[in-house]
Formats: sequence, C-alpha cells, structure tokens
Amino acid sequence: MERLEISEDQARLRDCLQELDERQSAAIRSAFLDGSTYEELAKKASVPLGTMKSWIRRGLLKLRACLER
Amino acid sequence: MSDEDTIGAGDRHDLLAAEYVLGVLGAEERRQAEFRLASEPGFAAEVASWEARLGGLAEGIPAVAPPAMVWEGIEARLAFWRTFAIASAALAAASMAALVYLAQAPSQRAPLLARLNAESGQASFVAAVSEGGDRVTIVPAALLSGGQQKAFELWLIPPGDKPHSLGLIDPSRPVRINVPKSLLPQVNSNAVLAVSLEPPGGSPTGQPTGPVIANGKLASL
Repeated sequence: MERLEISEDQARLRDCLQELDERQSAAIRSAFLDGSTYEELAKKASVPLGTMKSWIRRGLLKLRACLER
Repeated sequence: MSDEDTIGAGDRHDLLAAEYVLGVLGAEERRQAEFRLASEPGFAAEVASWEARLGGLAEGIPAVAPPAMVWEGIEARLAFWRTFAIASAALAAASMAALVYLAQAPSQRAPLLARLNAESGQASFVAAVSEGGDRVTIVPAALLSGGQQKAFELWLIPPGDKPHSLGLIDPSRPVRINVPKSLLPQVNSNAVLAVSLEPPGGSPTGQPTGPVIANGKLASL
C-alpha cells in the first residue's frame, strides 16, 4: 500500500515536471540533484542570477499548482 | 518585469520555503529561513509541504552510477532527503524491527510511546519511555542520514514550554537516553518529542537551530 502511494506521488511529480518549461524543470532538477545555490546554477547555465531565480520560482509555483490539482 | 512585481506576497513567502527545501538559497538567506523555521509554525508547515512535494525528486534518481562530480552533490542532498525518500519495504522492515525491539523492553505497565513522523507522514523514529519516565529509548524506523556534518538532537517539548534537549541520538541504531531529573515531571502524555538536525556536537544555543525532521506526541499504549 505504502509502496503504491510513493510511486503514485512520484508519477505525479514527474508528470507535473513535464508540464513546466524545459528550462524550468531542468533548473529545478539540477538544483535538487547538484545541491547548487541560485548563484552556482546561474553560472553553470550562463544566465543572469535574476533569470535563474525567475525560472526556478515560476517553475516551483507552476509545480505547486499542478500538484494541487 | 521582475518577479518582485509579479509574484504576490503570499507566494513569495511560500517560495522561500520551497527554495529552502530545494537548497538554492545563499548562506545568509538560508540562515534566515532556518531561523523562521524554528520560530514560525506557519513557515515550518510550508517547508513540510514542499518537502512532501519535492521528495519524489530523490526517488526518481535512476539507479545507475552518476559521474563522480554529480555524486558528491547528490550525496549532500540525499543525506537529508533519505528521510522522505525511503524505500517502503525497508521502512516497513525497520518499523517492524523497532516494534519488536520495544516489545522486548522490560516493562510492567503500558509504556509511553511516541511515533516521530517526518513531515511526509512517514515514521522516522519510534520512542518508548521507561516506566519511571527516566529513560527514553529511541529507535530509528527509517534510513536516516544527516550527512557527516549533521548531528541528530532529540528534544522534549512540554505543552506551552520551549524545547529541552535530551541529547544527541544515532540515526542508525537504538539509543537509550537518561532523562535529566529536572525534566522528569515533564515526561508525560502531553509532551512532544522532536528530532532536529544540528551542527556536530549538538545545538550551540540550547534550542533547535536546524530543521526539525521528525516529531510526535507521547501517548500511552
């Protein structure tokens, strides 16, 4: 039962991540997996800090909306 | 058009919780978030929600060896996330082991027990109080790791009171803790036990400084 719930949550998260812009979901995954800060992520992606913050913040808000549907 | 113009205050507040969970904040912002986590229940609840939402990212990591460079980051991240991303089979086995262990503990009367859940609702620890209330045995019910830089500290929180440290615990094995005499009257079914992540050696302030990773109320069996 618990196993089922976990994989359902996972599937949901995966589906919702797919609804995001590619850049947003890539940034969120990368943030999580690499343990990088905004600054490090911006440097790696060669974009201004504000842009990286915007990608991730908007991605997170969309993700929240999708998961709460 | 900046985010400050277009993202509402409520969302900004919630985003800080998400950013904290995601680990993207710089050192100073992170410290501020940790302070709020310890002092604002509303913020702590938002952090918990985000932990539940994003925990699946750790579960989704493919079981192939990633490049060494990535691995260090994953280790650092996963150290904390293992709490939430535990394989259910292992969790069930560990919980069972914990209950068997507790059932064997000598006791004439129904002991006080607490199931300390992570924010995801999964049990992280099971705690049992000895008959006299002077010893707490705390057993990990999930695979936990705070990374090498983190200590796990157990807190007793009497109703309406601040947390009192019961000392450091080991996330990999059962630990028996002697309750300080001064706290004995507080060990009852109204109190809450909580575990926080702290710097090595424990909280420098005498109060939780890191995220509370699990908590639960004491109750008679």
